[in-house]
Amino acid sequence: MISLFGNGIVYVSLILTVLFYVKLLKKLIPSEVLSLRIIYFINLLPFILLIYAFSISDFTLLNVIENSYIDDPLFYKVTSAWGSHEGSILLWVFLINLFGIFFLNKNHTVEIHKNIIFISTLFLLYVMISSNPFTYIEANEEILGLGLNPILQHFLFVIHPPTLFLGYIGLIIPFVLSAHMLIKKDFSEKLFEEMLIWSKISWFFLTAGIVLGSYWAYSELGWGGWWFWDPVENISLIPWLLNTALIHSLKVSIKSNQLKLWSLNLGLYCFIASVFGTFLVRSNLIVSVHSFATDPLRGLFLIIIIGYLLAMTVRLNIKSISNFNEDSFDLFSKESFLLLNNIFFICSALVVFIGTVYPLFSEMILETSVSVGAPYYNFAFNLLLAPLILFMAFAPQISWGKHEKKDKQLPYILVLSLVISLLSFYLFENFYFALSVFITGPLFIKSILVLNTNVKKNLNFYSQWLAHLSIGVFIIAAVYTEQFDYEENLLFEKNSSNEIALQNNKIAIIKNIKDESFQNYQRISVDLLISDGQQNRQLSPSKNIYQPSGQVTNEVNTTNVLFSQYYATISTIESDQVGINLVYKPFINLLWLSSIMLIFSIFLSIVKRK
Amino acid sequence: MNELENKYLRVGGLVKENSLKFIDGSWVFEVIDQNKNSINVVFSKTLPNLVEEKKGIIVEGKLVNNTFIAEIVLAKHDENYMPQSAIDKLKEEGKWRGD
Repeated sequence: MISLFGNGIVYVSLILTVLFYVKLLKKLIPSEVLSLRIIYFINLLPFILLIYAFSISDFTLLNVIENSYIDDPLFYKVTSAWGSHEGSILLWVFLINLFGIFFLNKNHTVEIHKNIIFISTLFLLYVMISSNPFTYIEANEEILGLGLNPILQHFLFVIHPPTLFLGYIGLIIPFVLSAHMLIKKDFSEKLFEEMLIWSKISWFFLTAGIVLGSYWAYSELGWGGWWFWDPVENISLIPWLLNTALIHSLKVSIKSNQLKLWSLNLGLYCFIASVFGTFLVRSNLIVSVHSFATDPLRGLFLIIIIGYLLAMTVRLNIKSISNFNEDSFDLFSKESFLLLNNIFFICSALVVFIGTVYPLFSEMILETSVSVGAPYYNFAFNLLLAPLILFMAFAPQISWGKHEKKDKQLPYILVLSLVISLLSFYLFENFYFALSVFITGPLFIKSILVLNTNVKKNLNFYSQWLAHLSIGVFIIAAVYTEQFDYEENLLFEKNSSNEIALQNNKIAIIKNIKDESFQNYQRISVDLLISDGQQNRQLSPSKNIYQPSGQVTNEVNTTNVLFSQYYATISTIESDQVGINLVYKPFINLLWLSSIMLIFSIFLSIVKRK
Repeated sequence: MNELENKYLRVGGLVKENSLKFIDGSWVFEVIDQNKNSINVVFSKTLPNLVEEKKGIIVEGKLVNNTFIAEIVLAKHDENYMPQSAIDKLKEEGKWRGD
């Protein structure tokens, strides 16, 4: 029944879209805006229907059988809807149309919406042709479902993919707006303002999505920690870097009427980067820790979609190339610093792009397989990042147009920062940490100083100030936690002491071992106390055994010591011995805190308009 | 393999059948590649989920005296995870769409 319904809705949507394009729908519904609203609404339904099918465990759908289990909690049953390839592409379609509906409330230009619906239809056709989520299978009482991958049974599975997708797909609005403005040569400030707000909304979700993914990878064993330069992580970073550049260049376009063509062309590439990322991981062309099921048809179809978007973009690039040199501003002005910012961000995006696709080209053309790992990124990316952070301290105070007054503080700030950096080297004896202190130093000093100046302090100021400050905090926390973490492997034997002394003079004490049963899994946990004589902190790492597969997962357990964290897993558990892997991650929570600050800062700048 | 000694390396392959053991507080196993080359790996931390014999694995670390001392072990995870028994059942019924 649901299979019939789902396929039916898709047909209705396709027919209405075609009728709308050949202008026959006008005879039925005179208002084009109303027809757009109807099409957008109908396109929301397939995904909602799929969620419904999952929630009632409708095992007449193959997709439901493959991705959920009758005894999974309802929470995971519903979210299994985007656990599979089919469901996640249907979620893309859903979100494109959701953005379309919200955008329709602000902008009634039918031409722009036609483009959104066209892209949505391409994705809808893609999922229906290559892997129909509404494939029917005869009902059979023995079928209980194969279950959602136990590793995905995590609360972050509920929010991370949709949040990241909202970020990716939010970029469709800057894309269609850019294309429209370039085609119509309509460079009104109102449209640039509109583009800025949508790229900020996308940036909000993109940042939140990346941070949630990072946190998930951190809390799951064997996913490489909070950042691993895995292709799946990289391809989310590319649109983020480009979108960050876009937000900065749009400021120039709005405030000083410059870099307009630059911003519009950049706006096109942000969305292409999102789609390209999806293509790369979905097609399984690159080797990643996260692997998705392969099917050549899927890759081919995505190439067609990207080909279409890219052809459109390149055509508009060529058209606008001769007009690029119309911009003019003083070398020492905010405009030129923001252009510099753009060059750095675009170069970093290129560095990540090249590192991610190089193994693919090397394998296809040079026929040697290469893996590009952390050493490449840490070198090339940080090389670009370092000057960017230094500029970030001073650029916000430079005036638009032509900067007249000299910054007398500059040399003092640099010297002070160098002194603090040398001091930190003396104290911590770590070069990388001292370097990061030197690079972020001016940003912190300037942040404090600027609060005492007579700069107009509105929400706009605070959101920018907070965003830049949180990047500084993030860098310090990231370098510190990477440089100073340490781990111990504790092996408790049955007939010996239940206490082991730790490196930091504390004592690890093993307490009881528990065996509990839950709805769809069995949990074996070990209670471990970390004691300094007065205060005890408890950790309960566990091994879970899932039904129906019998698969065992290692569950991490953590305990916080202010900004730092103990991170424990059970390495082995047998009748005569228990092995615990204990890692101390200093300042890791500061990293999460700075990420929350960053997300909050963009939130401030979005709400300030209302 | 001598020129590879003491360099930081990344190795991918399958965990050899009947080779995965826990000895003196460390996991010890053999990784074989598609050319049947094999290497002994020692890993002193907790093995990630999904590391199993005959399954794919990626290890990073150093080669010391022909033994690979792993610092990082990664296991691939798949969205279309499915227990083998279920795959067999679907194949039986002719409804299996995978490879």
